[in-house]
Amino acid sequence: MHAAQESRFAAPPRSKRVGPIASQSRPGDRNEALPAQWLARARSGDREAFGELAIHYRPDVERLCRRLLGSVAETEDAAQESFARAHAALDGYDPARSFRRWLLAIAAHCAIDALRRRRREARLFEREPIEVGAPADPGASPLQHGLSTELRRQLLAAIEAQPDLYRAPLVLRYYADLDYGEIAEILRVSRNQVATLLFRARARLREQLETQR
Amino acid sequence: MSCPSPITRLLYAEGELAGSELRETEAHLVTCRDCRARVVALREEGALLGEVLREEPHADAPAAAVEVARGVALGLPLAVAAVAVALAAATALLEARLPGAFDLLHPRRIKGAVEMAFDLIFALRENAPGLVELAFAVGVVASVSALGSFLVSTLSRRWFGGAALLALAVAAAPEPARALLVHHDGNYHVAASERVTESVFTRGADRVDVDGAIDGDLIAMAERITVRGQITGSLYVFCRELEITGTVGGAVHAIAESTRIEGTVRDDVYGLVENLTFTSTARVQGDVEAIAQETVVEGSVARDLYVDGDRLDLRGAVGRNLHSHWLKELTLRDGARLVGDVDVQLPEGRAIERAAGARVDGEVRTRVLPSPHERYLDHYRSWHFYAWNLLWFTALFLFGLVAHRLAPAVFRGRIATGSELLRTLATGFVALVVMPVAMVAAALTIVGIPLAIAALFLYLLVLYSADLAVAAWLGGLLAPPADDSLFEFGKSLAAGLAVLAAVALVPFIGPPAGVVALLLGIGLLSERGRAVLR
Repeated sequence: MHAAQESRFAAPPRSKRVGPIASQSRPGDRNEALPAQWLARARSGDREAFGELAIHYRPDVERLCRRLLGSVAETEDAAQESFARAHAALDGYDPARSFRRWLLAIAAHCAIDALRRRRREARLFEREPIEVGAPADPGASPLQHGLSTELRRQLLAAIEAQPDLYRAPLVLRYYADLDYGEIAEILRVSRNQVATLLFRARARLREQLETQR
Repeated sequence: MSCPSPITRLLYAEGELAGSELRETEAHLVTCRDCRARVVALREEGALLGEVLREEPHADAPAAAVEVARGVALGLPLAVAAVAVALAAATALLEARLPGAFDLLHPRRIKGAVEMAFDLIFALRENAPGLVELAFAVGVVASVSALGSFLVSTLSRRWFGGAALLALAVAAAPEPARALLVHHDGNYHVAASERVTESVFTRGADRVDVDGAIDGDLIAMAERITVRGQITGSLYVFCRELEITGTVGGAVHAIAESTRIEGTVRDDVYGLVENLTFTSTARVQGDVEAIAQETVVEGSVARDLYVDGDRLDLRGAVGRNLHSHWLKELTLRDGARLVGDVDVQLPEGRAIERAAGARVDGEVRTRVLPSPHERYLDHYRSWHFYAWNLLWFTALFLFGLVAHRLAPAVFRGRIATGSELLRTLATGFVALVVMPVAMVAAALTIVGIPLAIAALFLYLLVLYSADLAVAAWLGGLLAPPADDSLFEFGKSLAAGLAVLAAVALVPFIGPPAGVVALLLGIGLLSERGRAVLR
C-alpha cells in the first residue's frame, strides 16, 4: 500500500523492505492529488502554490521540529526556516522522491542545526564517540503494538526525555521516515553509527518502559 | 548457520541491509522461526514508534522528568501547607462548635499505629528487654545514615543548598550544648543546692533524682525517676516508677508502671500508667487525662478529670467534670468533691459507689458499658461511622485530584507481580517505622529540628495519601484512565477509592485490610519518591 501510494506520485524511492516478511505499512505520506498539483505548479515558479504546500505540510514539519527541539519558540523558527530553505532548494528537488520526506529531511537539518546552536557546539554527535556495534544479547523483547493508552503516553514521554543523541535518530527515523543514509548525513555521523544509536535508543526505551510498568 | 547479530536483525527489519549481508540474512530467516518472529516484532515496534511520535504533542512538551521535578518542587510544599492550614482551620472550627469532636478527626490509622507501637514496646519490654535497646540502636543508625545519605545525594548536586545548610549547622552548632544537656549513662542526680539551667535529656540511667532545680524540660528514660525539687518546664518520662514531691512548672507526660504525685503540677498530667496516685498534698492546676489500671485521687485537680481503666477512687477535689468511657469501678469517698458533672460508662450491673460525704454539684450520668464485642459492632450500627467514612473518602478524593494536578508522577506507582507486592509491603513497613525514628533522631540536635518538623509533615502527608496511592493503583487496574485528563484520572481514582471504602466497611476485615492498604500505599509512595529523586 505504501509503495502503491507513492507510485501514484513517483516511483518508490528505493527498493526497500524486501524479504520474506511483508513490511509494515507506515502511514503519513499524504500524496493526495491536490498537493501533487500544487507541487507541480510550485516547481514552475508559482509562489501561491508553494504557499498552499506550506499550509498543507506545516503541521508535519512543526511536529518534527517540536519532537526534536521541545520548545515552541525554537520550533516556529525552525519550521519557518525549513520552508524558506525548501523554497530556495525546490529546483534541486528530485520528483522521484516523496516530497514529504524531502521536506522533512530539510526540516530535520534546520532543527538539528538549532540543536547544535543550542549546544554551542558545531559537532553535536561527535562529542561522545559512538562505539559501533551492539551486544550479542538481544535484550528485552520489542514493545508490542497493542500498548495501552497509558503506556503509549509513557513511551512518548520516554522518547521526549531521551538525550538529543538518542532522540534525534528516533524522530528522524520513525517520524520523518528518513533512511539511515539520510540520518547519517544530517547528524554527520556514519551509517553504522546511526544503526548503533537506533539500536541503543530502542533498547533504552524498552528498558525504561519495563521499569515503569 | 548461526543467527545474525541483533543489530543486523534491526538493519534487516528496517530495510537497511544490502548485498551479501541481505542475502545471507534472508537465507537464514527462511529456516529460523525465532529470527522471523523477532523481525516482525521489531517492525511492529518501529510502526508503534512512528504512531506514537505522530500523536499530538502535549501542551508543554519538554521532557517529562522536568515536569515531574517541577510538580514535586512546587506541589509538595504547597500540599503540605494546604493540609496544615486545612487541619488547623478544621480543628479550630470543630473545637469551637463541637467540643470533643476533635477525637473523630484524628486520622484513625495513626491512632491505631500508635496504640500498636505501645503494645509492641510493652510486650518487648516484658519479654525481651535487650531487644528494645538493640532495635533502638539499629533504628537510630539506620535512620541517621538514611537521612545522611539522602541529604548528601540531594545536596551534592546543589552546592549552594549544601553551603546554606553547612552555614546553618556552623551557626547553630554550639546551641545543643547550651540548650539540651544529654546525659547518657550512670545515674543522674541534681543535688538540692544545684540548679541546671538547660533542658535535660537522659537515657539509660537506672535512677534520675532531681533534688535541686532544672530550668527547662526533663526528658528521661530510667527505672526510677524522683522529682523532689523543681522543674520549670515539662516532664516527659518513660520509666518504671515516677514520683513527684516537688513542683513541675509545665505538664507531666508519663508512660510508667507506677506514678505517684505528691507535689504540684502547674499544667496538665497525661499518663499511660498501671497505678496512678495523687496523694492528699497533690495539686494539679490543669486537667488529668489518663489510662490507668488503678487511679487514686486524694489531692485536687483544678480542671477536668478524664480517666479510663479498671478502678478510680476519688477522695479529693475536682474543679470541673469527671469523664470516663470505660471504667469497671468508680468509688466516690467521703471528702470527694466534684464541682461539675460526672459522666461515666460502667459495665452492666455496676453502679457508682458513693459515700454520704461525697459531693457532686452537677449531674451524675451513668451509662452501661457495652461488651467489647458489642462495642466493636456498635459503630457499624451508628450512622456516624458511615458519615465519617464518606467524609474521609470524599476528602481523600478531592485531595487526590489536587495532588494529581500538582504532581501527577506520584500516582504512577504500579505493582505488577507478587514479588513486587511483597517488596512494596516491606518498603511500606520500613518507611512507616524508620521515619518516626529518623525524626526523633534528627530532633535531638538543634540543626535537625526543622528537618524533623519538615519530615513530620511529610510523614503525615504520606500517611494521609497512602490510601490515595493504593486507590490510584487499584483504579488503574479496574478502570484505566483513557488519557491524562483530570476527568479520566478522577474516574479511575473514584473506582479505586470505592473499592477501598467498601472493604473498610466490612466488620473484622476492614481494619486489617486498612493496615495492609496503609503499608502498600506508603511503599508505593516511597518507591515513587525514590524514582522521582533519581
